[in-house]
Amino acid sequence: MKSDRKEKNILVLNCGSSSLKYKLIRMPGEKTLIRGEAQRLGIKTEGVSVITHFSGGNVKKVENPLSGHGEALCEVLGLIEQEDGMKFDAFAHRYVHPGDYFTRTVKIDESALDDLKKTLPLAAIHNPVSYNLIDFCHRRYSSVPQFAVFDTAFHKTIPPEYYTYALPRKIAGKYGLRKVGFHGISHRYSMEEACRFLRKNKSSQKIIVCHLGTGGSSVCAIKEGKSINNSMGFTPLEGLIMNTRCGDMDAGTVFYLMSRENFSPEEAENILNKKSGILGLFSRSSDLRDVIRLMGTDNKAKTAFDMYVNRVRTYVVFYSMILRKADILVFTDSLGVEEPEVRRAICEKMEFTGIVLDKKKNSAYSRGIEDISSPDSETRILVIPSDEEIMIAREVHKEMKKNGSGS
Amino acid sequence: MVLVVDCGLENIKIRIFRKGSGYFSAVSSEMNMHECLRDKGFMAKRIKELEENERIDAVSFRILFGGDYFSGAELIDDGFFRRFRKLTGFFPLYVPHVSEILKRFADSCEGIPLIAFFETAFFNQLPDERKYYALPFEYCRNAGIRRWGFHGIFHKANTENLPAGEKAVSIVIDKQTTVCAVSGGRPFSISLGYTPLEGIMSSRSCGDVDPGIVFYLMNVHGFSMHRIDEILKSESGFLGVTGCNMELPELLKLRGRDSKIDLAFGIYLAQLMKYTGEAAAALGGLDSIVFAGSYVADAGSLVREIMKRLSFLGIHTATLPWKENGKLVKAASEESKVKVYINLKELAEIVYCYTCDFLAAPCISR
Amino acid sequence: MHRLLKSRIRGLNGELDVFSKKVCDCSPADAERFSRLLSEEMERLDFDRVTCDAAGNLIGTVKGYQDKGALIVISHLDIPSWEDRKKEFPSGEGMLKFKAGIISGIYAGALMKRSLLPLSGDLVVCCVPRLECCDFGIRYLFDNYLKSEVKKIKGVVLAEPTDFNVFLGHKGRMEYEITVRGKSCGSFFDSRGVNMLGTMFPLISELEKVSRQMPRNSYLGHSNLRIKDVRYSGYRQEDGLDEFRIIVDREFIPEENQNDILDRAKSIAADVYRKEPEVTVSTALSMEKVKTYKGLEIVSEKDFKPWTMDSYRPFALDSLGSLTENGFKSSFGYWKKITTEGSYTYAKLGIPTVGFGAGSEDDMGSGSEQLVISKLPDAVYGLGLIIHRNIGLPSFGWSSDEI
Repeated sequence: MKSDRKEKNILVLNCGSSSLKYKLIRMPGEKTLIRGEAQRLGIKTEGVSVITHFSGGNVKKVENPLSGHGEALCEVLGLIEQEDGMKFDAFAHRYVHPGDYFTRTVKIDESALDDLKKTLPLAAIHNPVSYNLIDFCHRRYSSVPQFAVFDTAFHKTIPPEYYTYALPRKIAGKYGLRKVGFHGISHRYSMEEACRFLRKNKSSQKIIVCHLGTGGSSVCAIKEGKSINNSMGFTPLEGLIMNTRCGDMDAGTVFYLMSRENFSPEEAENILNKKSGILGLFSRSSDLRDVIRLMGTDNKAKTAFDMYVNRVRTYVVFYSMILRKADILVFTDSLGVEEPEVRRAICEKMEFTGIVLDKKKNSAYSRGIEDISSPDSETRILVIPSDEEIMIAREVHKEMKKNGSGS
Repeated sequence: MVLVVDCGLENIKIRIFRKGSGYFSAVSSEMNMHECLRDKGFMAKRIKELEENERIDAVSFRILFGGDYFSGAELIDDGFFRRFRKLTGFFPLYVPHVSEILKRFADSCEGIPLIAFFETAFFNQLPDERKYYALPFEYCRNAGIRRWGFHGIFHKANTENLPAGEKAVSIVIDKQTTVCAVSGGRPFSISLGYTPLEGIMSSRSCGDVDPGIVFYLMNVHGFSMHRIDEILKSESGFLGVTGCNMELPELLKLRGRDSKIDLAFGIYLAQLMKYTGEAAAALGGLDSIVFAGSYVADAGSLVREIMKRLSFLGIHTATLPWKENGKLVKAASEESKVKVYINLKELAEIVYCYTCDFLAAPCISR
Repeated sequence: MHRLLKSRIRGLNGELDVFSKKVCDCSPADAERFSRLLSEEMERLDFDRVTCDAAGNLIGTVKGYQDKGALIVISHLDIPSWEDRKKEFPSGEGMLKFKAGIISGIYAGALMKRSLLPLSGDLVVCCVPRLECCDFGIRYLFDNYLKSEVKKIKGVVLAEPTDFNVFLGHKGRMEYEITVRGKSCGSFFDSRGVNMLGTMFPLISELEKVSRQMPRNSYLGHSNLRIKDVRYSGYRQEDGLDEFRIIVDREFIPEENQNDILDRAKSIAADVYRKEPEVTVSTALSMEKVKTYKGLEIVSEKDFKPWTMDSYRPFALDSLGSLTENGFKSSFGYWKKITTEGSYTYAKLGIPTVGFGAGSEDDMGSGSEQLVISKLPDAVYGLGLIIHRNIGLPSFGWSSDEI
């Protein structure tokens, strides 16, 4: 096959607990060649697994019982091989919570695998799934280089006064209790895209990124190209109100739930992680988009929306204070991009921090990167659709170039 | 003569206020809790001693928790006890304890009005979206898991003389530090939530932590919830980070000499900034900041630092010495967009003033 | 919470000292006076209800704020047996061990009362009379007072010496008699009967052999067999037969069954006399007739069941956790020597039961009472922690600093 050896095809794999998103990206052009998603993996009762596969202009749907992520990957690789001439030069995995073991993108070898294994309890849902897939690829496709890209790596620059909890030093040290921060891949991507769009040097910019997803959400404060604070903490539970997660919460409530209602620790965790947030407040849906649709007539929906927005505003003003006024405010991920009402409510009466939204531009936004701030706003307000896979591919490509020049 | 009583677990602190010419004077007295519990006649004896020289006009109590039942000052009578005891389940360590002391006062002070002032009453006016957590509905409303708030007496006093429509952030620096947003005499945010674990760290409690940490310690490392509770409420905060078992004013003196103490203040200020941010976000702006609390007189450096950090909002610190008007200190200069005051009144003094207002109100027959 | 309990114990210390002295000076041989001393103290300490039942059980109740199940704290009072009543009951040495249990039980109740901490159920402090190997007091307590007055029981704490550990069981103990009856021969030439006295020795020697091969339980250790007494009654007028009885004191483990033990003893004896068809052998549990100072007469078997409660039971874990999390270096353990009312509460009724107290069973009777007295405040504190962890309403988030 004829190919420019400077170009690399990177297969980015992004694991959910029961899904696997994949994208084959040609670097450095950042061209997406193939993308798709395998859903309902390993769940026995809810029907058969489905792979939706996009290549060029074509869509393929494959229904097949798949026991897990490894099997799904084999199926996907089969689909990719059917495409004429599609080859890939590396696997790139997104890995949620590496604890203290990794602070930057890593090439997988035996010792890296050993260290990854130690991180499994840190994110009991996400880590084991990713780990198993990495292990699977390592054994099965040993000739293809593999990389793990970490959601937390971007936040390693958070200073001690923001990452330390006021817990006993000994206990915090022994169990590694500190703010880790998440969504780093998305926050970094937003920062780079924002600076590119505004033609600013990132080292001169103070940026607040609101990653508002239908699943997890977080706000990040960025100064001189480095994350200095993130609303998520030791786990993704802290911070904003999310679809089913409560966000910031008095730890005392956990004890009361357990002692009053006789919940086990697992049950209480399940309530705060899976039954709270928008779902807990609104009960009919965990999707903020349903809340927005109904909040004109439904009081519960109105309260849920107000609480959601208040929490984001708290972090935006807090981060404005620690940055002493932000230069750029970014909205990204599904809710941040698709819901003008969310952006409007967050930016309302924020003049005192320098944030002034242009309401027309805000509601007229349709796609791509756009500036929706009013001309007299001191802070530029941008909407940036997220693309974590591109960011992962960038990271890995950078690493490959480094490795290549070294060998 | 008015007695203002603070019921601790170890002793009962009493401030005795006497009206002088135009102003009043106050002295302190204390009752040992063990004596009080052992000897049933102890309280009556002490009250009699106090009454020897001057008539007691009223006895006022600062009560930490009033739940949903108490939204203002109240005369203590039989109905009061019935409602107050219903709060036992919310605060088992405190409610029966105070209830017993109040009962003994009631038995020893026949004919003297006893008045209860609550630290949480002010926050019963919090809007719903600020009152509740993003938990399943049934636990918030039915089980009463909500922000009860704290330091309501201070926050109310701090903001009651401001012009209507003023967006004020009230910061109390005391054993606990709390931040409250007030506009038009109503609270719009409060840093202390369901328990004092949430909000800003204190000398021994942690302030905001990721609730995920609680689950991690329980599920992965086998801690019991009682042990974690103990860690969070009495081994964390400044003590946990620095190893120094000291209160805020002493710690402030050691700033700049020890990296652990500096880190602890870094965390403390970050938490304070978060809640100041929350308050400003809730009000959609900021016209004035009022500080108060028993440690505030010793925390001038902290006040200056907070003002410096917020200078981008248009705060200009006045040159020292700051002008005092009675017990109100002006900390911002004339051209400052945001006004900053320090209220040096002590809590008992505020309660005393409220007591006088309460007694003057026509509804109380004496 | 633990800070408040500790502080309230400091407040109680003076009263505790005075009461301990009074208890030490009072001989339990005078059951009525002793019981009055205890009940007066409970009343002085503001227990909500103090009663004494016909069996001599002394019961003090601290009312709960709710009604979600009571916690029973049981201490025991050894009383001299009916026969020994006339003998002088030894005072001083060894007496304080069980008195320490009584004092700590009563003061644990006082501590909960003084701390004003609300409880989710009643706290019932019981002082139960007991004869050696005879548990009439606890049976009567559960069959009468507790049955009618307490709806639901969450658990039992035995105030017995555990050296501040949490004990979860002990061996059983029973006393049985082997009765051998037959026609005794009168002289060397008398071929009509057996040499009853002489054949006693092979039987005793068989029992001795058995006692050397006792089964073992991994927690409780070996069973034990001890011949306590041999009684030869000689010629009996009514049937013209001779009779002797061997009285056996037997410690046994949960793997053993009481009936099997009796059957086995019987078969050993039968084996010794297998060539003597006229000799009959029987075995039975010993009985004890008890008359309490209140006049109640009870006939009771001498039998304490063995028990071991699983250490993963929440009641065990919570009790241990409350101690280790607040400064005690406690662990789970089992009594090796003594028996307790747990034989009834756990082995018979299945109520979760743990033991906690100052002093160790090894010191029993070693005259170290001063030592145990000095440990009483800690014993009361530990009991308070166990009580509060199990039936106290916890106050999370608020430390006593704030109040």
